[in-house]
Amino acid sequence: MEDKKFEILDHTADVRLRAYGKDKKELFGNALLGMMSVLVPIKVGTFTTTREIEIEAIDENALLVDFLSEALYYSQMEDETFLEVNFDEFGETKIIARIKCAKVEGFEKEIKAVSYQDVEIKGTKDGWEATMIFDV
Amino acid sequence: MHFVFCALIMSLNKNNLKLIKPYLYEISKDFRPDMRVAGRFYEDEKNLDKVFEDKSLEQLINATTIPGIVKYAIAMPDMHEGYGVPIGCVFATKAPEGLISPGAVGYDINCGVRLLRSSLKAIDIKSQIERLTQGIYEAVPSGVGRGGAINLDYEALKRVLKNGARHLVEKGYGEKEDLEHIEEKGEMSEADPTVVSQRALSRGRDQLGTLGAGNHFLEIQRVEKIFDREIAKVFGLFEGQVTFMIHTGSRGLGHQVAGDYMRMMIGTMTKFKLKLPDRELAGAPFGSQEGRNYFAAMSAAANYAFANRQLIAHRIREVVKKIIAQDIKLDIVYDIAHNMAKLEKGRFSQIDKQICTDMIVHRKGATRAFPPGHEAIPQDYKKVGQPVIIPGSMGTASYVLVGTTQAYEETFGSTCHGAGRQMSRHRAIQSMRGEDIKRRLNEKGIIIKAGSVQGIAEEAPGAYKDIEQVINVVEAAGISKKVARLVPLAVIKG
Repeated sequence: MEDKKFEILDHTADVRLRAYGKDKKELFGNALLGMMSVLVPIKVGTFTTTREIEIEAIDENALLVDFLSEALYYSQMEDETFLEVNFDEFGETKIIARIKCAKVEGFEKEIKAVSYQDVEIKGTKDGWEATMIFDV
Repeated sequence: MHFVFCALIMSLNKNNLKLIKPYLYEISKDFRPDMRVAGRFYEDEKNLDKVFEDKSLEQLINATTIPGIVKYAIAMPDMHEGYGVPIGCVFATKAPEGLISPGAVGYDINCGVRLLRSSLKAIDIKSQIERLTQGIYEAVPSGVGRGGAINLDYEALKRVLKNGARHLVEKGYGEKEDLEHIEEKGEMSEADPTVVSQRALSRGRDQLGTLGAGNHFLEIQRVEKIFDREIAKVFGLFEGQVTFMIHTGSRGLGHQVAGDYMRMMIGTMTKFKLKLPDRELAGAPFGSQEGRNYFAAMSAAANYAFANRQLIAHRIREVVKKIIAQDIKLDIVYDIAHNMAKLEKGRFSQIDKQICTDMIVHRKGATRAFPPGHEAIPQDYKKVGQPVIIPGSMGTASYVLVGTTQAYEETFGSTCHGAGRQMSRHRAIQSMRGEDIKRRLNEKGIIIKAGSVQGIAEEAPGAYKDIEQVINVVEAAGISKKVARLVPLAVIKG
């Protein structure tokens, strides 16, 4: 059975996502895929371009939020979803991601922002998990 | 840089509450060592257990730690867990050294409500409601993403950011009289488009005149009950009247401005030697460059939202003229913000009765509710006080309230904003079907036009607190007074 990449958890007003990964690169990648699943892309096309996203932040939690926020911006402005994420650089305060994009007709849902609230990245027996909240 | 996370284990319970007066509870500033002031909230005793069900009170306590905070932090009876502060939170910091905090304003800057009144009686247009609803649904883009009524070039967008609703009126989208009945006359004077990022600008270019998704909506309503005839007359409301309500905000531009500045201020916390229990409370002293820039950008985004509601109102007016009659006029009762920071004057009897100090009043999921005589409210309403428009959850009643002197003294002139969520979207979808809710609303005679059936389930009335209870608490507490109750005839959402 395939390992779980992410799941939606309860939150009163918004959407709480938990992502999983064997290592932190996979974790961040699955967080991105999880965010896209919350947006519910409409009519996903095939791979079109690779987008490079470089983020520097004060710590790991902020890195995750800022990475997802940056991707969210592009998804909204370019009408695109993300198929696969690889990292050219992955540090505690800086990442350079290469993301494979596909065009979409639109999204069913809206995420206003990725919140810094209650962001948690922690080790588990299988690797890592991260929890975050999206303001919808 | 470190954030100070409180070492004490949170064990807040009813024993930590002090009843100040009926419906008003206080958590003393001794409860936690980092509290600078007390935390207060309004609630009915019989609902007290519910306030402990989420992190609302913990977040209220976190709000009390904000540098420069005065008096106390407040939560309204529609409170629920938010980011940094609870939704339904009001607090003020003393300018210029007190903090301004983007998280305590919210991502949807100037999410707010506009109420339009007509001379029409619901009973007279019963056979036309369906066509009217369809017409409005087609005229006002709703739902997710881009695609607006107007595509702006950057110069036009900057004028919208600078001048808000006034720019729209000057372009022919509305009347000059409209501006008098919008909070801040639809134009925050401190707005500065030059401190709005290119990213935010690019998101704002094609969303003006759009509703958005989530809990944003348009409603055609009927005035079901008048509670205060004298005040209702001043507001131009009568029983059986047709009204139109618009609930939306600053769209992607506002979200981007909020995110940009939140990120920036997390980065400058070290510079200002600030320690806060929650990253989402990050801010900067109001008098600092960062603080002033955020306020100017926030004001610009607020103007975008005022302009957005102005354009949507214009579209509704056009549809009504086309479908009902050309000579039907829709006037604005009022247009309020419920996510905003404002520079307001405060008098503190415990500091100095003579000195009137500038405060930055943060309202997140809370509405300004100024009393009779206040200079900031429209001339024709000065005798009675400021209208407060409270949208209900989908298919339930909305209210028009009026601000009171007591609110001015107790809550920095503020009151609640709506019903407040009590059930997650996740659980709402699992326990309710959009189609069933739609059918149930239809059976009550309410037409619903929605872009997403799942969205109907997420926004189902059961997912929200009972608005009647929320309104009863604010009235019983004396911080606003009921004027009219409005019920939906039709709901339009994305």
